Amino acid sequence: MKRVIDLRDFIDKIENQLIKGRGKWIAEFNESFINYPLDNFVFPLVVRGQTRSKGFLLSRLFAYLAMPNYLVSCFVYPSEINSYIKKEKLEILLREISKMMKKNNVKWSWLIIPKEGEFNQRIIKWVEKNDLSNIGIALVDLNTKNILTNNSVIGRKIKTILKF
Amino acid sequence: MKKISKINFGDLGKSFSIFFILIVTLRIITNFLFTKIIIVEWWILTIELILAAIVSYLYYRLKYHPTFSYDKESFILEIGKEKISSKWKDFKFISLYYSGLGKTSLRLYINDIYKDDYIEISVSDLRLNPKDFRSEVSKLISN
Repeated sequence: MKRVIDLRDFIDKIENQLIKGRGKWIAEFNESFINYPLDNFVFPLVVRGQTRSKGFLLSRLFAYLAMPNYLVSCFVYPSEINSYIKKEKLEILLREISKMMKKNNVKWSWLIIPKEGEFNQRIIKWVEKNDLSNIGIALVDLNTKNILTNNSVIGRKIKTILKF
Repeated sequence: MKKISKINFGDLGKSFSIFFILIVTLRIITNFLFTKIIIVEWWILTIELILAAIVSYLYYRLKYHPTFSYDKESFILEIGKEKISSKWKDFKFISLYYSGLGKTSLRLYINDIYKDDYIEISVSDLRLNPKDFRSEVSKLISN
């Protein structure tokens, strides 16, 4: 029998996975916020980090000399069970995230939208066509464990960090 | 006020190692300068160990020992002799910061999470559960 993932468990899992180094190939996530407000939105989870890793001695020196130190973020914004997230709301969300990124020099971000149910077709098509290069978007259906991402390198890479 | 104070064995061990090496090195140099031979005796080593333990413990209490006291309104963070006290309502954001090698801290930001305007409480040194402590502090800040 397939185990249905609870929303709360999923958010905890993402936090643990990112902090323990799941996204290490792309960035070192080392700080997490819960119930983080951004304009009119409250994100249950925001994890941030940087692309330059903190190794020990030689690896730290190599990282300092060879790797750029870009700031990165991962936002989790769950969609409620009995409602569908609207395209307009998603656009506003992305706009707020872009504004924050520009203000604080954040190079790229992930926006993960988990839901205990299916997403409507309109939003799925919109996300699939979206090709924002600096924001990766993922729609995660927790019942079927399906992950749908936007059409960008950053977006497609979300699937490698989200393991159920 | 609730008070949490735990001995940080990592920092204590670090202090002990440094002082022990210092004391032994000083003794060997002094030894050699006056007698031209290096004396190795168990009783000398024992005295050096005891001396290093005493000095390092005092140094640890002065520099590293963490104590955290708090109530519904405010908190006091002491690291050695340094003391920071503040009210919960002065802070807007909290985060868990993982600096590596098992060290986790709770960061309290005054205004902007992208400015270095925060107080850091070492959760791992106080041996608290990071997520439970974060939830508790989150409630205190929002009250």
